[in-house]
Amino acid sequence: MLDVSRLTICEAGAAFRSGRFTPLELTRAYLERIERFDAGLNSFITVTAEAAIDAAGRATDELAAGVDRGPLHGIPLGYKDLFATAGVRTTAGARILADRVATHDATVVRRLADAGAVMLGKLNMLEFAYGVVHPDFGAAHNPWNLEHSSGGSSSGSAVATAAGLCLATLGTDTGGSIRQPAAWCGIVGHKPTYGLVSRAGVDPLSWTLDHVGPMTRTVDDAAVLLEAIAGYDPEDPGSAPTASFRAADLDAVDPGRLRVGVPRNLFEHGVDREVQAIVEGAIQRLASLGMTVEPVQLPGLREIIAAEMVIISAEASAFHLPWVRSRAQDYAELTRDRLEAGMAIPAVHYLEAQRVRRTQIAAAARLHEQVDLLVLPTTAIAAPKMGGETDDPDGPPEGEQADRLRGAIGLTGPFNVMGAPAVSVPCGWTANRLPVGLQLTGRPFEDHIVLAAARAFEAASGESLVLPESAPAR
Amino acid sequence: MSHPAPDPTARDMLAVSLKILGVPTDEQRLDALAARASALLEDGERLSARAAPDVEPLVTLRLPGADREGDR
Repeated sequence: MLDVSRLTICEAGAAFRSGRFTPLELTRAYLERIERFDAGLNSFITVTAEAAIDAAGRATDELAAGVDRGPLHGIPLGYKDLFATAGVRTTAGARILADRVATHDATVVRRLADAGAVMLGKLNMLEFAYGVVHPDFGAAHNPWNLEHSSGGSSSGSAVATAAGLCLATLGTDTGGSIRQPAAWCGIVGHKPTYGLVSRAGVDPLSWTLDHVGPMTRTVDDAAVLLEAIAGYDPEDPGSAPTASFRAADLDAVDPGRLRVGVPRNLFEHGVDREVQAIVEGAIQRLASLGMTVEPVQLPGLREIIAAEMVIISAEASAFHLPWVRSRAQDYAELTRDRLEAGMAIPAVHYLEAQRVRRTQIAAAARLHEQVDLLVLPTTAIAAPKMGGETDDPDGPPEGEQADRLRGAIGLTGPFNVMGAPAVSVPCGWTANRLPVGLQLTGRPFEDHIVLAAARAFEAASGESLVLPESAPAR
Repeated sequence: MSHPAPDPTARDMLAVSLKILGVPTDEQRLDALAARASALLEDGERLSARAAPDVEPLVTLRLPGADREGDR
């Protein structure tokens, strides 16, 4: 079996072209790893082995014939199971869609297929991306400690990437669903600027907060994947007509000239001391790279979270109304509770939330006259222990009434409300060997600056490219 | 799981909304969901105090053809 322990998209591409191994050999290696390790991880819902072998064979033949479709040609990927994939079951992690077979590809899936990528399968997720494991599918286990949560909702995407069961994955992020599992599983997760990446063919949770983005083992891989999926799409009403992204633009950014703001009012309360200390160390590392680091205040924090809660609840309840009427018993209990409670929101409150959102975007723009980036922890805690197969990483624990979704999105949700680019990059380990994520965010459509800073940090920290004991290299 | 005493306003609001929207429910379920609905209504009330009078909601109406130059 090939050693994939230090393999990245960029390195695999170089290996294909130097003749060290072929896309077909690499795809077979990942399929063998899935077969060997995923029973304990539960990251895949569907493995498309036969189609993957066919696609990898075509990529191998094309590259041998000098037909080169670019850096993703022959690269094995996995997709969260709410991206439509023609002819393949697409469940959204829900009993309600357990037997749905998509008739077409989501725009981003089509773009990646055109770029020559090889789909290995569809990845586990929280039900309809709304924060709860459906018992029919079970939890995807954190590869760093199988008893701990992998987060969500893009849980399988984070687990498969961290455990080396594929080179990279796609996830979606409505309140932190790319960044939180990326942080808890020790990988890179990027939520692009709203409108940069098409969501056409992706099951919605909340139309005005949903984002599609890459989950990878390095920042460079995230940039390569983002370049392939970014761009205007008339099929997505939220798509920006000017949307484009070039990975090469990261090279034009001088990280040493960046001004970084630390919005301590976002994380001065409720962050675990160990996580806080690791992130403070990471912030010092940014300063050691030449970045100017200064304290800033992000105003209206309570209102931002209130807006996120009102918008996500109202939009999710609207989307799910037909199924809540007819198939309520098929939802996981907490998903159903959230959907039904969200129906109490008055239209006036929803519109107030969308007004506050415009105010906050303007406030963030003023803040970004002072600093290029904001830096903060991705999550307040490292991955918590799971309670069982139906464990809900965001839901209320036994005896508590408060909805922990509110707490789970506290550090990530503001950047969904504002549509800003935000990346989580590994920045250290807790004493019991669980990863911690550092979050960097920036101005809309300056994803290249956010990623360039994350890449500089990654190079200085050397925290990436390790495989967990649950899925070792050999 | 035990639940605190249900918030009567949120419970009433939820009952009316579910009835209007055609979602079957019962008294026990309304009791169980009242606190969750109450928290969302509190969020909404917090927003009313924040929005400036001259700010329009961030809701875009983009008609077919409006972005023709952006098509590629």
